[in-house]
Amino acid sequence: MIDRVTQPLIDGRSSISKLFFETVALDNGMKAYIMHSPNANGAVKLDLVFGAGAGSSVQRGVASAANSLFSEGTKDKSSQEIHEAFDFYGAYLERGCSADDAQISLYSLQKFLPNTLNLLVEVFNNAAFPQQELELYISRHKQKLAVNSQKNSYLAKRLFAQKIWGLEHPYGRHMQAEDFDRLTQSAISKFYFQKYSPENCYLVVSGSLGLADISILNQSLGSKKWATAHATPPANSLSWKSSTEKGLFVEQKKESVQAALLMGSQTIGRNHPDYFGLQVLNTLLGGYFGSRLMKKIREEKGYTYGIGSSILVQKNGAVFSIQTEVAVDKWELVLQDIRAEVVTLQQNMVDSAELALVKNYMIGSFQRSFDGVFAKADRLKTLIDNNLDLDYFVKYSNSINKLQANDLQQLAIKYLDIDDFTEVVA
Amino acid sequence: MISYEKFSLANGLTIIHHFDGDTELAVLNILYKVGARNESPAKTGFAHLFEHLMFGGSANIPEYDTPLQMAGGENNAFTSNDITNYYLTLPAGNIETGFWLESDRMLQLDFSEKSLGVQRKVVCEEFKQRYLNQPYGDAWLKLRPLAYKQHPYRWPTIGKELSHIENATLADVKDFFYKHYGPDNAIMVVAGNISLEKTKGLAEKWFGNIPNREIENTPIPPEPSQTEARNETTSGPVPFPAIYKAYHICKHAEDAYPAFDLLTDILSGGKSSRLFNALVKSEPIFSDINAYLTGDDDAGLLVIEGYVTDGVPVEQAEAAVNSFLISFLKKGITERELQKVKNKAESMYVFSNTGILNKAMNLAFAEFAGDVERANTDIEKYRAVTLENIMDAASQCLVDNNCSTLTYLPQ
Repeated sequence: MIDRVTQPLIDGRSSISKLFFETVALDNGMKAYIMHSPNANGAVKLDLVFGAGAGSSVQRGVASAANSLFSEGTKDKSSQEIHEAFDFYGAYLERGCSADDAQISLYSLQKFLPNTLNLLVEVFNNAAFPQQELELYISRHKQKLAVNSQKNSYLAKRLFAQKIWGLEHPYGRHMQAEDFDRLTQSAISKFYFQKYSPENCYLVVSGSLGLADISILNQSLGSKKWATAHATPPANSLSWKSSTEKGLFVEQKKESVQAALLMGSQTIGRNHPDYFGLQVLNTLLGGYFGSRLMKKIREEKGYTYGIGSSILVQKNGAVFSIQTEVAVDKWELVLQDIRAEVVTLQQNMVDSAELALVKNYMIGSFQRSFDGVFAKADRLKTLIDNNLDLDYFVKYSNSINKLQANDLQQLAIKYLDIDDFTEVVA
Repeated sequence: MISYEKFSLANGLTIIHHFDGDTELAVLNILYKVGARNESPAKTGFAHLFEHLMFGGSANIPEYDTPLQMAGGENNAFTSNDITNYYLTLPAGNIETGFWLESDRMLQLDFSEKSLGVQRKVVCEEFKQRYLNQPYGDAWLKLRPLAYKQHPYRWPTIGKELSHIENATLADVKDFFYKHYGPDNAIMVVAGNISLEKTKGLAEKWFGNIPNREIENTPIPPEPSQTEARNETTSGPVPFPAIYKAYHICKHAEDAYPAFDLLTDILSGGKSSRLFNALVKSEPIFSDINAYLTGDDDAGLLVIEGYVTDGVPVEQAEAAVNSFLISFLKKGITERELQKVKNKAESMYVFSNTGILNKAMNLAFAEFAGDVERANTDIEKYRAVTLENIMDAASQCLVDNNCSTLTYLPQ
């Protein structure tokens, strides 16, 4: 008979995969990070990250509109022709615009890389922002906003950001219907040609790549022609003022069957020596399925489908928050329970079994985030975006391993002060 | 190409192994051939509730998650109308913990009143969060019983109504376990940095002595052919009307399926697609419109889902979809369009086989669909689709008497 009661031995060793990549300066000065994998089966991913986030424009919505609309028409090609060409090669364009930066990703088969890259550069250089595409963008986004405004989780998120950063700050402001109406072709085009330049961008290419591909990359995205199509250099970044409101804010919709709850405060970022420890504390409290909040609020009381906590790190500040959705008549109870869990962390030391559990979970989870070349490329972007050294990930896992229960209690006292929290219910 | 070895144990458990030396992880994916379609109409939502209970401890292990997390692992699961799929990833050196945990809950669950009580509440909150408290969130609760009159696809995995979950008893739970959970009703995929020999050894050690439960999966009678158009109107707290049109198609394993899949790509795959250009761009009647397949094991649905532009009467929107379809069926598609969606399918295939967990799931789904080799060969079936195949599929499917239309209006 086998022993089914005792857990099999755990191999204590954990290794973090190294990131292997090359750094290349393209002809036009753009910095490219190349991450080749022999096991990507002919798949290539390009990530272009521009310093063109919402925080680089005073007018609300311009940065997102530029990010969405650059591919919607050139002087020679209509939006449909451009998309048909990408689609024909089985390629996907993905974009994202945060407050800090704007990203454009191209997913392509290696065999079509010359076609898709040349197309991308043609679109980049000749973006025309046709008026009818802008009008369609505005009407569709206003409709999306109206639908989102029916979602408690969206409303809570928006209110929370507003209270933490203030409506004047790019992390705290949000789009209203009239902001969409104020968008103009000329403002978007001007922003785009200032910000989407090789000097204001870095490139990460990952997947199946040979020498020929790198040369094509240099001829297309690395071309000096691109540089001249755009004004240089990018303007200095704007400075923003933030203002935080603490306390409890409740804005409930009548017909909801659940309420969304968000609470937290501004906190430290990746470059702070306490950051690793705070991540452990965050994981223990609400960062994984076995966390104290999941155990208490979901697995013991059944009040919610999910509850979690997280640290969102942005370029100009970080926020710790706890978020959940619960039955409308239960939010006050849940709020009390969450506060009590936070206070417990300050008053009592974590026992060694729980600490070991969290550490092991975190190291394993960290290893998972390196699985496959595209995941590794994402880790590399984290390093670049935060100006971190290559040995950051090794430091990260070493620091987690060293942490003691006493350290965690001190961190809870220092960084998780419920009197300092902003709490919103929507 | 995903390389693999397939073998089985004497108790009927099917095991598929895939080695990947590039990762430091290993994955254990167990697919149980039970989903919402195997539920009784009076006790719906059970397969999914059961998935939650599978984390409440087993015969010899009081807690599932803690030892897994202690070994640096993570897990999750999902339930569909056809299957319940459980997966975990671990640092490869700790994979035996995965075998230990999964085999114990396959052997026997700890049927606990407390766990059932809590998970009933959790699932009710999930029901609210995902279906009731989202704009248009209950559309599928209405669309399914319109499209299916006999087949159990007429209810969603979350269940027909909250009361079915609230009334679940421990006796129901036990009955469900022994009826559906066992080695002979499961497919296990072990993938990652673990050798075939080690996989065979651990599989035999931990799963070998679980008895065969002689599980019988009686085929579910097919949904009778629909003979006339069905229409229903509903309303909810939404800002704009929406239209859902559901058309019956073939089973996932049938030869005609890739043609339907490519058809939906032509209709709505990206901004060069037909529906987007006709009904969002040329005439801005919808703010968004999509076509997709439910991809079920038994005969599923092709769905067109459109959100009507502010100010456009819903009757006009519906008429526009209908005249679009008539014109599409008449004019057909081009060779270049077909090549485009085939290239897209190839791209999807390549990108979906990156990462160890994706590969493991693709292997499990292929085996469930009848043959694990389909993970590698299905793409050939897509390459072989002709213009005629697609237009045959379209003209047979996209007709009024095969269609159930749900109109969703603001309250």
